[in-house]
Amino acid sequence: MAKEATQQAEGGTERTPQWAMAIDLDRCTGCEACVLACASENNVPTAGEDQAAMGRTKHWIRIDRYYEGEFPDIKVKYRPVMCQQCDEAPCEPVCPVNATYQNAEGLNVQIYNRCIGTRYCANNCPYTVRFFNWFAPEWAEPLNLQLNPDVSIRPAGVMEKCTFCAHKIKRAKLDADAEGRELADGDVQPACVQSCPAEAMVFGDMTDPDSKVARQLGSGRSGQLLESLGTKPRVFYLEKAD
Amino acid sequence: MLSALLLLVVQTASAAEQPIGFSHTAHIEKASMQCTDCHEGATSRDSAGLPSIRKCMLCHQFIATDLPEVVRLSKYWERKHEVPWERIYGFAKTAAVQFRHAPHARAEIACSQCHGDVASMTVAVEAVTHTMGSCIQCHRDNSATDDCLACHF
Ligand code: SF4
Ligand code: SF4
Repeated sequence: MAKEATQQAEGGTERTPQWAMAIDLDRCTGCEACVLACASENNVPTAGEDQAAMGRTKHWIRIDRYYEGEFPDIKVKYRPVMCQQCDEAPCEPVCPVNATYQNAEGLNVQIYNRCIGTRYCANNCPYTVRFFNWFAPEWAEPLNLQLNPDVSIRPAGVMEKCTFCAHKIKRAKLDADAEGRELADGDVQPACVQSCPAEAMVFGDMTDPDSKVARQLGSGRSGQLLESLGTKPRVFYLEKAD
Repeated sequence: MLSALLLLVVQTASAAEQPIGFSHTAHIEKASMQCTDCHEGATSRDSAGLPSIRKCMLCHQFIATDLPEVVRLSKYWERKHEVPWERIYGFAKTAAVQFRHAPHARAEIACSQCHGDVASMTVAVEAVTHTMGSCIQCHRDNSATDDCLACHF
């Protein structure tokens, strides 16, 4: 009994979900609500002016801007970019201590207390979405009171990045388990997805044909960032085909 | 013998740190209380939790009011203070461990597996040392996940 229950307790349902995100670039308005939501959800500190000037800001998600045309006939396109959770992640094989790896659900995991801070992973990431903690993070009072207890504070000397809100995945699994049901599509809402007013982002199990994300991927509008590198990201961008 | 002596040293050391010499065995063995009567979250929430002094006083306004430890308790109550209990178990911040009680309770892991035989203790002591090795061993024995991400995030 204990055996089965434990398996269930850890979300060990028969099917292993394969997490993916679809971001509709035709919907994104570049408002950066996702950027803010991510920082507050995941205890991502601001770097401060001096450190920022040295390029040491941390943004687990950022909005890339693309301009088309000449001023004033200009068209701006926005692309939210976070860790692409690659199936063939260039960051993983270069880590000498296995602090970053792909788990069974397709997440590119970063284990903070395993990380020894070589920074090889960040150097090998074509999407520049990995951030190194040069200093221990600080929050001026009373901002320290808003920290999310479900997410560990990363100490100085370790790498961090978007986790696909792994803690929210965990929470959704435990909630479903406590209610004695299977995880349903839409149960897991990463902070960025949850906060997007344009509903540009969708998250879910891409191997469940009925999930929203699977339907988006099959829409014929989906592509990946730097697809030619063969990194096989789990983040898909939807765009009207030209 | 030596280990018994060591245990005694440890027990008295930890016992001295608590503001009140709360006896677990008196509550569990004699008063037939359950762990969850006071540690309410142990089966349903992330953390088991410590009871508020209001809960203690539900009974101790009337029961055993003349015992010295209960007198100390009511002094906190009169000053409208909570009892500043010392935590015995918990993970260091640097361990980056996210532990949840509820799923372990659902898996029918007995409290004593991780906390020792608290029912026979007076002031609770750290009877079981939690290491990554002990957590993983138990997870493996019970076919639970051994993905690092299960606990470290
Ligand atoms: S919140 Fe939504 S609309 Fe705003 S920048 Fe992020 S993805 Fe785009
Ligand atoms: S999935 Fe979570 S961690 Fe990743 S960018 Fe969105 S909010 Fe940030």
